[in-house]
Amino acid sequence: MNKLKDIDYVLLTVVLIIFAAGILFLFSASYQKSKDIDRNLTLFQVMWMVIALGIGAVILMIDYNRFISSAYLIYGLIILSLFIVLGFGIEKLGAQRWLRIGDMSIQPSEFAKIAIVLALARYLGYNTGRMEKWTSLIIPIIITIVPMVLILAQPDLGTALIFLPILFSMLYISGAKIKHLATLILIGLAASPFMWHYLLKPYQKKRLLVFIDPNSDPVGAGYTIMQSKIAIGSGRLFGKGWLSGTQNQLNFLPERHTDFIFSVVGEEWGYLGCMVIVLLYLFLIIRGMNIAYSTADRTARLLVVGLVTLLSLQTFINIGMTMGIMPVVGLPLPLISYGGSSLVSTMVIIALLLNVRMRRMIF
Amino acid sequence: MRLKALTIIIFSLFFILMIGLWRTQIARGYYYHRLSEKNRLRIVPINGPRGIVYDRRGEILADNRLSFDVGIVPQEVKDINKTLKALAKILNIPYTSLNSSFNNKYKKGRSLPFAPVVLAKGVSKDNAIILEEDRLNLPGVVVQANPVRTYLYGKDTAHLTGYVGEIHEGQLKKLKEYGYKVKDIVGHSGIEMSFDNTLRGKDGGMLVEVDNRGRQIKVIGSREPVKGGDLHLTVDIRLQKFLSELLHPRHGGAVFMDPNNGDIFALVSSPSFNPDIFMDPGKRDELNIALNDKYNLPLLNRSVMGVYPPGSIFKIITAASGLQMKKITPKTTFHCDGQFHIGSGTFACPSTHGNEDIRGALEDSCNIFFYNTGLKTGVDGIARYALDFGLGELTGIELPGEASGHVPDRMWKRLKMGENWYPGDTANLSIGQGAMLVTPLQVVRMVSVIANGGYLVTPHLTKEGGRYKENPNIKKVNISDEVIKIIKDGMRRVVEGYDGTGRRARIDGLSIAAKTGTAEVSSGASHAWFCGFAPLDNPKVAFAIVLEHGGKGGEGAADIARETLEFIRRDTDILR
Repeated sequence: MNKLKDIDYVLLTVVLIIFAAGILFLFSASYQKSKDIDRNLTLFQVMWMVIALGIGAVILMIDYNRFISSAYLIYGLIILSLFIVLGFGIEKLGAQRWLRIGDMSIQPSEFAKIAIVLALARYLGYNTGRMEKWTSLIIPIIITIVPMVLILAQPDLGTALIFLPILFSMLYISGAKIKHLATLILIGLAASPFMWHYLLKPYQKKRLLVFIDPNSDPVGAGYTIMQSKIAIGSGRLFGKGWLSGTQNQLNFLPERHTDFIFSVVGEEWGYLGCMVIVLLYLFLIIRGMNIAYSTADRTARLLVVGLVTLLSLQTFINIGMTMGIMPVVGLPLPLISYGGSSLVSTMVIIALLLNVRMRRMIF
Repeated sequence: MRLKALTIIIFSLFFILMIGLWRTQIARGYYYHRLSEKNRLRIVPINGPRGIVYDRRGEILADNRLSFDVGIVPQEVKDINKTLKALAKILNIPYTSLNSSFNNKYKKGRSLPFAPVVLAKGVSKDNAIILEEDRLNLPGVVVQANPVRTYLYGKDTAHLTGYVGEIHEGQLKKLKEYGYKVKDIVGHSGIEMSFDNTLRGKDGGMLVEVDNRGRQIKVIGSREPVKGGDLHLTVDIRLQKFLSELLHPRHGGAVFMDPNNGDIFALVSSPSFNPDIFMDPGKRDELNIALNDKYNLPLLNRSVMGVYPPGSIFKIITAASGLQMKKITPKTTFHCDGQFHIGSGTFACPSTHGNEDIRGALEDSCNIFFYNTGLKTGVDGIARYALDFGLGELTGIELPGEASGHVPDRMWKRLKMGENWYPGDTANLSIGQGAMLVTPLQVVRMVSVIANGGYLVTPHLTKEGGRYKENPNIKKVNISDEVIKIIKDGMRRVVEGYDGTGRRARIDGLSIAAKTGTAEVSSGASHAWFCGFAPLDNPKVAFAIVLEHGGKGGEGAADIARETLEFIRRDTDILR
């Protein structure tokens, strides 16, 4: 049990630095009184981090192999809770993503991402060497599609869409043929007009259309993107300084404490601040990838690849959408955006990464 | 190997982010910085006008006009009090009311910055021009031109068109999914409400860049507003207007309809209201009067929502059920000596008619004949025919809030009163008294069954863009041509016969079939009913008129029918 020395303290430190910087941004975002942002949210966020660290510590104590062997059970429970959200969830911002337990509302879709990675790692890891066949792709696809459809129905486009790249990266690493993967992508593209028509809600279509042509809805969704771009761009090289961003402090930025927190970074900390944050994330991700390189356990490697892909995509899409280079799909920025579910699920990912590294077999 | 490829892909994603940051913050940083100074972006909303409502001949009933709204952008105003005082002087509105409306609407941090706070709606064009010319002296004051609903025939069509207003909180919750948002203008009654989805326009707007004095220098993006869909009604506005003025200011309702397909020619409820009062803040007093007028109830559409005991017009149903169920024949006679006894109760007839057959009993509206017929037929048979003729159910007209009326029967009385149904109840029912309740719209539909040879049509106001499709599955009522012929003949004699109760509706050269009704009510004079159709042989118009406490059906209500039919013959092409 004496493996504490094998914890990757560098990775953990980077995580805590990003979180600490995030607290500064959140403080700034909630500095001015406004109707939809609670002024105490930094306090809540720190409280959530304490809880998240506790959960992370518990995860570290359990061998990751036990998570993988019970992956299907965890997956099943998450599917069940997604059904419950559809039935009894609370609506926030027009989407039903929240489940109320006592006084807390949690967002099962945040944890569904991890459950899918676990289930895929388990299946692909146990079927090593058989992935070159066509038919082996069927079950991984089903594992991904079921929660994806449930989350799309909530409706949460961003979370649902992030599943596909995760599936592909894990299939790729597990040895599936590139020919097969390319065919799947073509089928997906062919089916997308159908999905556009039947699966998407009007506001989701609008957001995607606005991404293609920001001027198509200048008064609605386009306004948010424009204000966010102005905020980031106006920060220029050095930024306007902490608590001094006019876009932020004058209430121009909607959802600036959650999905659009990066606009606050851009405006107040400038290009240099943004680069520091982006590089910190990149460092975190490379450090995570290293774990995949260094472990000999194929299943563990798949798990790490899935989790690292998840973290990178989430970071990329979130920062990309604040600059208008990705569509606005409602994904939080890991470790920085306000929200307990997002924070806890990110820390679970970090804990699983550390767990694999701690127990990796060293030759 | 593959792990390396994946790492490179992730690397390139982050590289894209870094390029994006460079482009946004360094390459275009100056541009965005300039935009962020005093935030140079303004939203200029442009509301989409609602669709136009036409009558059957293409006359416009509901249109849009431009209204000038004055607001201020608080962040641009240097001295709020001075500006408000200047506005008060120009607009001739007390400073205190402008000030309180500003304080109510604007709360720091609660509204989008640089969004104008609207202080006065419907400002005159002259004042709007004065303000526009004076804008350099009054920084922060904005004048917006918005389309506003206007009704060309005002109170004459108020109950048909309904009116529009800001969306209520409850409606918003339900309609959010369909793209409705706070402060949207939606229909609150009439076809404005039932066809809101068709009529409502799509709002557009512009995102503009302004200079430090609030002048527009560049349009960054814009979306054209889209006008809502138009609606063509089956109504003939000439008839509608005539009938509306004829009924005013009496309390009552009247419907004129094509008995063959259910096209409504005119649907009137009196007293009416001016639908503009809901949108014009200057008419707030008038609105309060209308809303609180418990005596006139001007907002109640009596033709559709008003339920009344039918009185003797219900004898059409009693006759139809008795004849069709063969409880009486065309030759059956009953003797009327003015009184009728059931158990210990005595029922009266206004007159002593002697021996009567069905035609004669319809002509002079003999109660005794129908008491006897009703008792032979029984409550179950009468109630079934009442339902077959569309009473006790919604007609399905495209107007919100329709009342279904009530057809009493044994079960209802048992449940409601805990009492058995007595023969006296049947007698009362046979002449349309008691718990029976109908709307004028149901009555016009009922007489249309006689007029068109046995079909229960669906009354409707719209064709194009409406719910009604040509050739619907019209329900055939179980009634033979023979029975219809007998009832028609009786109804003809109501107007033409020597003893006819509706003789005052007589018009030379136009054969009319009708039935009068005088519905007794617990207090006050009876409600007067007059319903029927014309011409007898080839009916082209059916009608139902009710006047609350209007006395006998053969008097005031019959006069309205006659004058309206004369108008129809002279001034419309309905009978041609």
